[in-house]
Amino acid sequence: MFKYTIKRILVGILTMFILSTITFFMMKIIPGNPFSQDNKVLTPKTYEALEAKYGLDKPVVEQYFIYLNNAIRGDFGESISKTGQQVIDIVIRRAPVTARLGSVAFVIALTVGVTLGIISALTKKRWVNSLITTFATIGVSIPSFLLAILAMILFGVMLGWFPLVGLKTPLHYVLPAIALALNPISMITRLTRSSLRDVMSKDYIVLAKSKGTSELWVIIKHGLKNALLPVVTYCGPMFAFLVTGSFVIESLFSVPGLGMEFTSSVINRDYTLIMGLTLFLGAIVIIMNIVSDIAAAMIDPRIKLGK
Amino acid sequence: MALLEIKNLTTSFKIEQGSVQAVRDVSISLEQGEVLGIVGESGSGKSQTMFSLMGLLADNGKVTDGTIIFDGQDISPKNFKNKHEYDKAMRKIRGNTMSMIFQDPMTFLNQVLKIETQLIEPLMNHKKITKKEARLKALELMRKVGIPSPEKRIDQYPFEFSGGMRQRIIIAIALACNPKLIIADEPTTALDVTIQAQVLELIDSLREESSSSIIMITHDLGVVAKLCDRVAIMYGGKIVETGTDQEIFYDPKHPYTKGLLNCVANPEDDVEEELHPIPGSPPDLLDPPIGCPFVDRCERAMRICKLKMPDVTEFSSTHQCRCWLNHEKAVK
Ligand SMILES: Nc1ncnc2c1ncn2[C@@H]1O[C@H](COP(=O)(O)OP(=O)(O)OP(=O)(O)O)[C@@H](O)[C@H]1O
Ligand code: SF4
Ligand SMILES: [Mg+2]
Repeated sequence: MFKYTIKRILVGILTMFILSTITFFMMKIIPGNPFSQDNKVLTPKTYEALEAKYGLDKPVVEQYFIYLNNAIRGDFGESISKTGQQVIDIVIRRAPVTARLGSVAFVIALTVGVTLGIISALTKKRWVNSLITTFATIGVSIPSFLLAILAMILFGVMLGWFPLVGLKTPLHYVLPAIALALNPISMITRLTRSSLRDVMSKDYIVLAKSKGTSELWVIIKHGLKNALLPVVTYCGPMFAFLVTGSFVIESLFSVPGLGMEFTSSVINRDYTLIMGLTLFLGAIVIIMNIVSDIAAAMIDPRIKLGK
Repeated sequence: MALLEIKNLTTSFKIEQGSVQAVRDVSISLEQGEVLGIVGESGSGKSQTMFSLMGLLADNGKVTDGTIIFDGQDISPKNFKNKHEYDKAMRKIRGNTMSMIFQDPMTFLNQVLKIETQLIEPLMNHKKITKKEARLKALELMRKVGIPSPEKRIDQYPFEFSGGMRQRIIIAIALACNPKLIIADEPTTALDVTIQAQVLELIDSLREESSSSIIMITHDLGVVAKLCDRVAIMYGGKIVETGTDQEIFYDPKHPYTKGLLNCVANPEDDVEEELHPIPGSPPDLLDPPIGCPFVDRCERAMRICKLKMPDVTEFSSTHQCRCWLNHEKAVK
């Protein structure tokens, strides 16, 4: 288990390094820089002075090493479009907003998804199963922003049940969190359903029943632990999905989180901010993946004990 | 009174193409302490007969007819108001007075639960004891089935055990509550040959020291000769012949039984017990023949065999056979 964890972390660090390298050079390949948009206003002198200030006059490879070196020490430089603000400060200010919305959506997705999955796997009533399956299929195939817009129109504008802008009160969370969670709910429902179905037809379930254990206990004790393994593994990618998926949702609901910041940083060609946000989000994705893999490994003794 | 009395048990499975008649009109009786062998080639309905008895059929399976009296209680599914009532009654019996040893030790243990958890489960279900007492009892059971250093092994997971050791765990689970009937469904088929012998040795010794009745399902007539008092030969979902081991080995009446014995007698076949001893394949249970199920492969088949199911002929109180050859009018 220890070896497994170390290995996963090392691979994670390597992935981060590759990610930062790729983003850095991609950024360089894209023509133009933050000052080229309105360079008619800038005199050549100012332009050069700005380039020098941000180190853009140095050779690309050198820029890369300077950037890496600083990044390791937590310094991602100053935002280009928001002068005077450190990238790291912007991230620290915006991240909790996204994290709160993401966590609410995460909890909704997990509880609703697993519950629906279990019901649809075990129900003997055909219509219940069809209902859930249909819902899950719709949830997977319709993009979340479309659902978000529909929900905004229906519950926000027409019915007026929920506020539409920002995240001030718990009520504010309802629509964006649900819009964000809908896709993962469907995924988890499908995952839980197929996995539990599969598990319940396994031989060890028959043996458990042959001991006189009640049906419900057999499901809880012998079924779920096995069946939820793939769900636990999916939690990491799901969290990543919720954070990245929040770009559109945050913009739609005017939630001042990382997603909204990311969108505006791209529009403004704010190199340092884009890089900082990419690395931050990348790190979250990687860490969440490691965490969910380790959680799954703890459930599965074969991995836990290093086999 | 017999411990177990199965009469005219009939079980079928619903599948897309129709209904698989896996168990057709099977009757079995078993005295306390008796060991019955059930022999027959793959797909003849041995396991499903036992699953019907335990109430462990797959969701698409159903006992459609017959009565089962076990330990003085009528446990035929039709005797209960609904499935819930039936399950409730069976839960008190399963793992308690009737338990089962399964074929494949690799797939029948839960990989994510400790041996202790799996071993104390029947005890916790049926006995009024604490977890601590159950653990002690589990250790004792592990010792009984020959698992070395049980104190250490009890906290391990199934994947840390070899196939033979896992099968010993499954046997220990079955023995936990000292059942009146143990059903062993090909308990050695999935094991290496050397391990097979050890596990059989274990079952043999358990048989000697306990008063449990055993139903032993096997392909191996050697196992029958060693362990069983009586044998039932199954073919195409039916019991075609039943008798004491003496009667079956020295005076077989059914052409299929004779075929099975011939196969073992042939020294070249001693490795491959699974080989179809008789040319041809078993009947399609989706559309079973109305006459004798063996008719397509029987060298002595007559016209009537295809048309009508042979009646039971009694040779002794223990020896019965379903074959038209034994009819008084048949040419001997
Ligand atoms: N769930 C099911 N659905 C449909 N048919 C089934 C099902 N389970 C078993 N059967 C069929 O029932 C018949 C009897 O199966 P059974 O498992 O009793 O055979 P067996 O004698 O135990 O064979 P083996 O020696 O291979 O274990 C087979 O034809 C099998 O295909
Ligand atoms: S009844 Fe006829 S076909 Fe069947 S075993 Fe006897 S002789 Fe053969
Ligand atoms: Mg079988």
